[in-house]
Amino acid sequence: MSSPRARVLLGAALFCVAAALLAPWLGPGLDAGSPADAFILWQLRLPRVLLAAAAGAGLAVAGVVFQSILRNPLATPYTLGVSSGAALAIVLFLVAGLDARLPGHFGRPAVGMAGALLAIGVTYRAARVRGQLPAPTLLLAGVTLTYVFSALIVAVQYTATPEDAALILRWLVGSVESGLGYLPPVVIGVVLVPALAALLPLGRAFNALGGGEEAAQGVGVDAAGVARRGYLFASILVGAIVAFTGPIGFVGLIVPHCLRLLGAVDNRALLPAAALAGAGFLVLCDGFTRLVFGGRLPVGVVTQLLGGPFFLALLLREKRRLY
Amino acid sequence: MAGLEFSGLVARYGARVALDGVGGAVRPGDRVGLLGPNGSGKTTLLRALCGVLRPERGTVLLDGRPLEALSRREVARAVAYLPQEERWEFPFTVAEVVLCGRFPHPAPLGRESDADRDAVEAALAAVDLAGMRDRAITELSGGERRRAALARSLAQGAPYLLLDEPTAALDLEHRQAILRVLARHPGAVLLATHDLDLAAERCGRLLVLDGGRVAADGAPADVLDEALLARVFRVKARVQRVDGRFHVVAEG
Repeated sequence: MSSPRARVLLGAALFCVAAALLAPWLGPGLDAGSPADAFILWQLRLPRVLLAAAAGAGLAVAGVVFQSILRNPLATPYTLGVSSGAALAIVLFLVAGLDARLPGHFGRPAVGMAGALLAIGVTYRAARVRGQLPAPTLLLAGVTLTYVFSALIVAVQYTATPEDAALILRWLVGSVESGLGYLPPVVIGVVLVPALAALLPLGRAFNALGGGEEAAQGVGVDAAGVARRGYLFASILVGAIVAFTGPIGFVGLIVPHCLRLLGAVDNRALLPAAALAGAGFLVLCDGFTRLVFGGRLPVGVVTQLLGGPFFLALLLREKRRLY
Repeated sequence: MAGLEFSGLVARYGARVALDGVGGAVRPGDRVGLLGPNGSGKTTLLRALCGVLRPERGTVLLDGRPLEALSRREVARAVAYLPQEERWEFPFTVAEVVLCGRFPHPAPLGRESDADRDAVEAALAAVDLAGMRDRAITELSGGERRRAALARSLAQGAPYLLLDEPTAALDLEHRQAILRVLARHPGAVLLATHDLDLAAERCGRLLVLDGGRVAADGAPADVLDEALLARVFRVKARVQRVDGRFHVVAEG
């Protein structure tokens, strides 16, 4: 692997470690001797940092996967209906009051993954033409599905009790403050590890897909098989994350693009770098909400507030050179 | 028997028949020009011969073994296919694009071997892109991108090269350079093109398709005549031979 890619990978690793070390201390100051502050650090902030890291890593990797398969820089879990499919499933699950009835909240990620898989399944079926999956059709199907799911979520919200409606609203903004301690990061980690094990080795195949399905098949890539594996693992990853954090936007879009602009276009470097930088990015965003807003503003708002202008600036500076 | 042999190939796109019982063979060392008007089945035949398209009927044998009995990587180590066009959305470097040709070769932990690096360097030099190895593919001109794609096929190290219009976007200098590279290629080359002069000059054999069927298969001197041009290409044209070279001069 040549040096620019190695540099980006190393930089992403350092960024991730620095963010993880720094983030627990961002926010109102903690007193080392106080039991109350020890509780805040170990039972509130640390699980939050871990959840942000796991969610950020998963969302960024899912973004790389969808973009690579579709060869479209705008493909994300959102544009394919995966996030909203998981969100609708979770909203129905919460309103039905099933979350509290199932022990350990394990129903939630299962329902989220099922919703995500159902959504990608419908998108896939709708877009399939004679054994091929044309990217424009797939994106159109995904965006359409997102609208339908969003409308259904609003319908559920309007007919729910005021308490449920408030709960849904808060969850929909996207937050890593789950109130469930170490459970969410552990559950997401259990999904993240096998998903990364399945997705990281696809780097070479994703590179070959960069020139199109036919060019990739010409060098021996099983394009349909790679796409199926990518959609499957990226979707269950998104489903498990959304179940606990709600749909957090933008991570899957800007993290991969920033890394590409910095020189990691090669997916062998981009996939692991996205996992590291995505983790660091969401951890820092969450630390920022504690520092500036005392943790009251959900991280989903901050990723878009911080990420949007940063990404626009980067795009304006680099677009002529690269795209 | 060594070679890429095909018989009775039938392929359809919806209701349209693209191949209607095509048969033939490409032997090691062959230079075969694949000719025919638009929609005659040239691209479909290339796709069927490398396993990208599974024909509805018929067989393709790679050195005696049916193509569908081999894994995709096994096929790609023996047969390199350069599609007619490709579009890169992300700014991969030229070297990264060419390295994709090494996909069918084992790479523990995704890292390239010395053999991979050597193959990439040789391929870049062959298409005169060594100086552009770190440029983004999205920044290149159409002809440069075409050469990068061809370099990827060369880096694949396959004994059978199936090329769909490899010289269409190239300037004269690079067209000649690429043709010299292909002439030196140790394996077989099957080259689909609309350039009849080029095919007749550089290929020892011409395989002419028309409406998904083989219209002619043989040496240029035996195949390329006014009757064939009128029947297959629907043009009135003369075939001239100057210093042993063929020139097709269309009238009207």
